[in-house]
Amino acid sequence: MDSALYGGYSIPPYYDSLIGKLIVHGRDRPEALARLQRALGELIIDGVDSSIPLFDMLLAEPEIQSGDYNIHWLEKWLAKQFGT
Amino acid sequence: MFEKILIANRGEIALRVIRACREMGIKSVAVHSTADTDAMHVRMADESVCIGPAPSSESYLNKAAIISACEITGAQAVHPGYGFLSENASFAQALEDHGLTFIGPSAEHIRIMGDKITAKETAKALGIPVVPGSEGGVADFEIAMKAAEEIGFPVIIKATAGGGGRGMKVAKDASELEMAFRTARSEAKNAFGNDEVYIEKYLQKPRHIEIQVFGDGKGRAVHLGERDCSLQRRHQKVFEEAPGPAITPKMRAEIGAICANAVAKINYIGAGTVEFLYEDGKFYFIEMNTRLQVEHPVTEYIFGVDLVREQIRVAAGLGMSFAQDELEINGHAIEVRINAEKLPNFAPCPGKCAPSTRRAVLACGWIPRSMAAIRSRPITTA
Repeated sequence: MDSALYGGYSIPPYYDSLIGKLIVHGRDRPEALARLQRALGELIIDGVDSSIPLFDMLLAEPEIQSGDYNIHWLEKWLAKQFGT
Repeated sequence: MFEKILIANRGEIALRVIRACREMGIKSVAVHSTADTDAMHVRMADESVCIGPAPSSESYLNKAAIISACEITGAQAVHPGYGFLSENASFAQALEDHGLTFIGPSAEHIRIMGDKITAKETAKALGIPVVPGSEGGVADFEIAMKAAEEIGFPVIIKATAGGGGRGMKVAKDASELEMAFRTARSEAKNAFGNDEVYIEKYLQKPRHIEIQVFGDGKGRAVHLGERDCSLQRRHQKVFEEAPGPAITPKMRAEIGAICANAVAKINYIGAGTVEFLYEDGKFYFIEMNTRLQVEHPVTEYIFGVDLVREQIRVAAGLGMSFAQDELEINGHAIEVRINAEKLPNFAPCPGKCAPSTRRAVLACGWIPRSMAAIRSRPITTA
């Protein structure tokens, strides 16, 4: 986890909304995906909403699991999920 | 080697650079706005200087204040991170004029790659594949048909003056070209007062594949494979992985060598990323980023290298610590970007994170998927 957060920190409204990067490494892609899912399950950011639930949902998608996606995939998927 | 480096950034990338400095025995200077007095990068650096009020334009983008901070602290070099001044040619030039080192490419290379048209022309001249298209505007339908046949269908017709999707029409085959050409022209005329259009190959379901390159500024350069960053929302990457699921070792070696040779030819120094659209085994240049990328860690994991350390080394005039034939891929890495945003609209969501009596960012055991929703509410059991 690469992040500049700490307990009690206030995220100022002036800058980019990126508050952290979760990076995983595995011997192969299935191992990396499994590790990502496990690590997301352990990651709690309390007090603010974050994009963590998005990744929980994405990992449940067969096309993410198989790596079969393109630059339009996410926006189409979001439109289907949330109508946004 | 430098004795002291100033980091002209904030957040996790500032920490990343401070950590690299510490491992190299280099002192670090953090700069911050008044809104970031309590930020982690200020706490972690050896020294810190307040460079202005909260808005970035008056602090993290304030070149004069940052150069003054170098002079006050005696920092010899500036690491710009990404965003802010990392691709600002005049900042790189100003540092040089003040006898300071910009840890990144030359002002000239930043300028060339920062301009879309010059970047594409330069890439093409250096042998990097670009999207095939007509050379400039096409005057009439016959020229359009000739151009489209040379490019190969499907093609997209775009307004020269355009943007935002207006004046853009796709022709799947020759039979659709005339209608598409005339519609695009009339839309362009209405929207931009200029009916000139040009033609490009139309990519239907491309992936975003980017090649990491690294040069020593003396004509040597390597590539560190690709990252697949196709999962994007409004051109913002959210999930990146390396190696790319669709890229074979042969493709990687070929496109990697093309990119490494291209940057070697111009004596490029430091980290750079050549971004492509990829479809059906072919790569099409989009742009080159003349800086470290947010997603650089996935490359570091699979190659076992430290790109920030390497940036500092070459900026100090030392060579690269690795050669192309020493770079081997080990396993697979994925990065997901955690943003303070609320689904489903991704509205920014600043605020106070985790009072110290609660858990902030931590590993606390497995949370079953069915309970994941709990995470969006305060955890009170800690």
